[in-house]
Amino acid sequence: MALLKRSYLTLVYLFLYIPILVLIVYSFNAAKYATVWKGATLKWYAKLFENEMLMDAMVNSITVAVTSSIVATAIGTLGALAFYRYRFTGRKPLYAMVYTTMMSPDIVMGISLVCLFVILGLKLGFITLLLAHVTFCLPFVIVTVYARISGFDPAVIDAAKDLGAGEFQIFRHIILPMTAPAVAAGWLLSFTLSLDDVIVSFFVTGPEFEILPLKIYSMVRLGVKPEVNALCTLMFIFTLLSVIAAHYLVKEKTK
Amino acid sequence: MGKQIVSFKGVTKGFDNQTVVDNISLDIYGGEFLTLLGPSGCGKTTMLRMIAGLESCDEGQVIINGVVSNDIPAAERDVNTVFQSYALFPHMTVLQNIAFGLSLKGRPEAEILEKVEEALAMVKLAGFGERRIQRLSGGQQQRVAIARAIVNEPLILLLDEPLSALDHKLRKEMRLELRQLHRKLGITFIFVTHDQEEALTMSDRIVVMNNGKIEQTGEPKEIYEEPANLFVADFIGESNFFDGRVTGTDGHWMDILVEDVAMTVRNRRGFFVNQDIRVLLRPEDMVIQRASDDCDQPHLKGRVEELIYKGNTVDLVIRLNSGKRIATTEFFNEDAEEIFYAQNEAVCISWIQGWEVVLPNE
Ligand SMILES: Nc1ncnc2c1ncn2[C@@H]1O[C@H](COP(=O)(O)OP(=O)(O)OP(=O)(O)O)[C@@H](O)[C@H]1O
Ligand SMILES: [Mg+2]
Repeated sequence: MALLKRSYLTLVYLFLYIPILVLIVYSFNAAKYATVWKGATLKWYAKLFENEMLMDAMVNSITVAVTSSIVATAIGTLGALAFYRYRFTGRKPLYAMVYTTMMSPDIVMGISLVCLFVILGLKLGFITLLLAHVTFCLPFVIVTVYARISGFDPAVIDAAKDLGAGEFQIFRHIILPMTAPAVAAGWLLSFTLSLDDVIVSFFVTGPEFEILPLKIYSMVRLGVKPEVNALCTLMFIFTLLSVIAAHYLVKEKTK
Repeated sequence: MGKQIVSFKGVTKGFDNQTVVDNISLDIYGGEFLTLLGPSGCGKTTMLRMIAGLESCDEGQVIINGVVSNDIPAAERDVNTVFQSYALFPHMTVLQNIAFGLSLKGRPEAEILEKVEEALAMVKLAGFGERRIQRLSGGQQQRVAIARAIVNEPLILLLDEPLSALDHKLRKEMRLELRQLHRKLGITFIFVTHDQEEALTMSDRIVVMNNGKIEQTGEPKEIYEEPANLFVADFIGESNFFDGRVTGTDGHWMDILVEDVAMTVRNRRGFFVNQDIRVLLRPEDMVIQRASDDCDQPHLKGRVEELIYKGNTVDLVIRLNSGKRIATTEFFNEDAEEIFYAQNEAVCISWIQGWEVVLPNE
């Protein structure tokens, strides 16, 4: 039984991770096109860093990811707080609508956003991309932060008031420190979501503002280049580290 | 007794069309240990929260220390609360929890530390300052909650069922400690509980509440021995009730008929002839005699159904000939074996004249 269980899990994980492993291994393969192994090399990584177009796209991507995740985290945290602190009519349906935007297909969001931007006469580029990324990150932040604060004993806030704290002091000394891990987790989630978004970005960015996922997409249409393997490997490692960090942030203090 | 420190004047409070506190007027005096006692949902917590400023009242006034306080926010009231769930700040140490109130007031660090140490000693937690809250037992968390409130030297300390989460033994210890703390601090304690034993043993005065109204206010002895109505009689302590009717009265005494037996009891409330009454007797006030001993006074007849040995008392369950069951408690005295009865033994039941409580049967 134990053996069966273990082999089943092994299969699941092989299924999940073999493609990534292949990618990582090939990023070190000396051969250019072939699927054969021609010895290990780091030259694709070197080539990657020499590729200015890719590097520019990377800088753009990171800029968008950093700014959009910060904006989304700020707005989303305040939103979650509003859901927690205030009882107003329509609170439940509104919260459900947060999930709806989270679940709605990227293609729907991409097309609706581009329509809106065109109607508003906004030029497609950094600003529109930023707005779009904030939009799709926002629900994730709200849900992450709200899940954590809704678990708090509401009497804790009464206790703070009772001891002389005003609204701001309650926020600063009680709510903020208690939600900080979830806020950080929400930010990391937004950052990674923004960094690897393709579909929404495809619709809302302009030709002069290229971002990494789209750049890679256009490159691989002409065949997978080894430096793309190298780039993807780096991105995977980065994601892995983020996931681990998020895990520890959320876990901390929930004991 | 000091002067009034809290006064409710016709206070009414409702939630979603349901009246939770119904036109209550109550004076609480400086330095007393007052208990709000009542069944779950009767509005005790709501009363406390209105004193704390965590709930506003719909009508009436809450006067604290001579000032109408309806519109004074919780943060500015000289009142601190020990919450039922303790509500400690989970991200802070014991010391930071207790220091919270004082540091908000901007007191100098040295003074804060000194006061925190003092408060910790007061609740017997000296040396626990650096502990994390999660690493304390329930009883210790409760003490931290008390320390966090008293360190601010409030005029009034509110305690919302602070002992309900503790085990039986700890609860008894904490009752004593809270009494001692009350004596040491000399401030007003307003304590909420639905445990009548807790209320009787700890309080200077008890306010019995039901359905958002006050049923009776008085000292524990008064509440226990002179319950104002059937609700209080039933809620506090164990009681036997007998339905009866007044057959004659001279104003001080009256003849009544209970269980078809004629008895004479005191008439304290101007009962009149033919009025339906209910006689209330505590188990320890019943007098039991063996039927074989030729009972003299008027008495009810019954048989011993159950004998429960409790160490310092023997409790009997007696079934009257009418089928009604009653409970009695006999204390051990010099000739101890006298109180052991055989199962099914025939007994006469009476009580010491004047110890009964007679209430109108509405
Ligand atoms: N914030 C609120 N919103 C709606 N109803 C409330 C609120 N607070 C209390 N109630 C209702 O008011 C009534 C009295 O509540 P309260 O907490 O004062 O009772 P309690 O006497 O403290 O009971 P317990 O012994 O169970 O703590 C209850 O029926 C409760 O459901
Ligand atoms: Mg309560």
